[in-house]
Amino acid sequence: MTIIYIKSFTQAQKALAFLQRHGIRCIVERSFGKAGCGFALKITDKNADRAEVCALLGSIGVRCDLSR
Amino acid sequence: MIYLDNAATTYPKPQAVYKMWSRAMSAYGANPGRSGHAFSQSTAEAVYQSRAKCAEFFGAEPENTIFTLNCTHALNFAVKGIARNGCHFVTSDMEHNAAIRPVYAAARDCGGSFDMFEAVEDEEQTVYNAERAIRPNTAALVCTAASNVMGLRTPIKELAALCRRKRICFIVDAAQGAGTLPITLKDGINIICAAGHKGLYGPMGTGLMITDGSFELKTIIEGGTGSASESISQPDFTPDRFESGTINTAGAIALGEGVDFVRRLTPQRILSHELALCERFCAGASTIRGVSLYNRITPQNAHLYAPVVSFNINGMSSTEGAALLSEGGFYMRGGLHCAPLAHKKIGTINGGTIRFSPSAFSTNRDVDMLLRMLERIAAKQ
Repeated sequence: MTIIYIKSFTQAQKALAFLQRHGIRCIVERSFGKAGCGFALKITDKNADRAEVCALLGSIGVRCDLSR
Repeated sequence: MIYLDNAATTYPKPQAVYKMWSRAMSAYGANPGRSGHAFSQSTAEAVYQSRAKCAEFFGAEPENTIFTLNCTHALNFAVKGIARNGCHFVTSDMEHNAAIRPVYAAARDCGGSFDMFEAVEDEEQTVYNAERAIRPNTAALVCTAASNVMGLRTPIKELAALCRRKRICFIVDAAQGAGTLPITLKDGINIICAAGHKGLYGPMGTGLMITDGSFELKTIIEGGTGSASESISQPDFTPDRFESGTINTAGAIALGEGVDFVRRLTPQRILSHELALCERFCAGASTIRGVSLYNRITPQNAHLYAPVVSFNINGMSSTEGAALLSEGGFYMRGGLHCAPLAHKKIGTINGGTIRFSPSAFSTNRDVDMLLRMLERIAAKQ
C-alpha cells in the first residue's frame, strides 16, 4: 500500500477528494512520526502507482516528500 | 416581528443551516483534526466539506480558506499579519471599526502610519484618490467592499488592479458584500475577510479569512493545531497556521449550508431582490415629511450601492427612533453602527442613523408596513 504523509488534514482531505475524482481509492488517517502529528493518505487502490499519484497531487500543490 | 437588521446579522437563516447546526452538535461532536478515531475523523471531514464550499465560492483553495470567529477576527489576522516595521496602510474614509481599529493599532505598533482616501460615487475618482494615498512603504490597502452605513460600494476590481500594479497587498472587508456583491480572489484581491453570519447566512461566531497565498502573514495567535506538534513554533502551512485552538465546529459546518443557500439563489438574485426593497423603501420614505434619508437608492444609482439605507426620524435621535420602531415590531439598528468614519462622512456623527437592511427573506409587505409605521411616528412629531 502506498502511504503519503501530509502535514495538514485540509491538504490530506483535498488530496483524497482529488484522487477519488480520478478513480483512485484512498483514505486519510491520523499519523504520528518523527515529524510529529500529521496525516497519512493511504492509497488503497492496488493498481495505483506512487509516481503517478504524486504527479497528480503535485498538480494541486500537495507534496509527497514528507518523511515520517 | 419584522426584522430588517440584516447588515448586523441575517435572520432568519435558511432551514438547512438550522438543521445542520443542530445535527453538527451531535453527529459531529468530536474535535476535528485532533484525534485519529472515527468520530474525530468524520467531524474533520464535515469541516473540510464546508471549507471546500466556502473556498469555491470565493475562488480560493481550501487550504487558504481559514475559519475565524467573525470578520473582525479575520481582519485582525490580515492587517496585523501583514504589518512590518515602519509600514504604512491605506484605507477608505468609510471603514468599519473592524478594519480601522486594527489598521490604527498595527500602524502604531510597527512605528508606521496610515492614510485614508475619500471613497465617492465616481469609481475612477475613488481609485485615483486611493492611488494618491499609496506611499513607497505602503504594505496594504485595506478597504470595505461596501459601507455598512450608507451602502456605497468601492470599485474592488479596479482597486485590486491598482494594488497589483503597486505590488501591495489588497485586503477587502467583505462584511457587507459577501453573498451579494461579486467578490472573488479571481478579481485580484489578495485577502478577503468575511462574516459568516451576514450575507452568507451562517451562524454567529463564524467568519472567514480567504487568501491567495501571495503575501506572508505573521500570526497574532499561536497554539495547538493538531499538526506539526513536535515543534514549538507555529505551523508554516495553512489553514493550520491561523486556526489555533478548536474552531467553532458546528458553526463552521453549518456555514457551508448557508453558502449553499446563497449559491442556489445566486448572489446576483439576492442583491437584485434586496436592492429592489431598498428602492421601494427610499421611494416611500422620501415622501414622508419628517423622515431624512442619507442615501437614496434608485434604479438609476443602485449599481453603486449595497442594500443598506440610513435614515432618521426628525426630532429624535436614531436610537430613540429605533426604539420606537422596535416597540412597533420593526427591528432595526440605530446609532453609529461601529463606523464613525462613515458617519463623519455623511454628517451624522453626533446622532447616528437608523439602518434599513433587508435580506433574501424580506418582502415588499415588510417594507410597506414599515413605511406605514414611519408615517404614523413622523406625523406625531
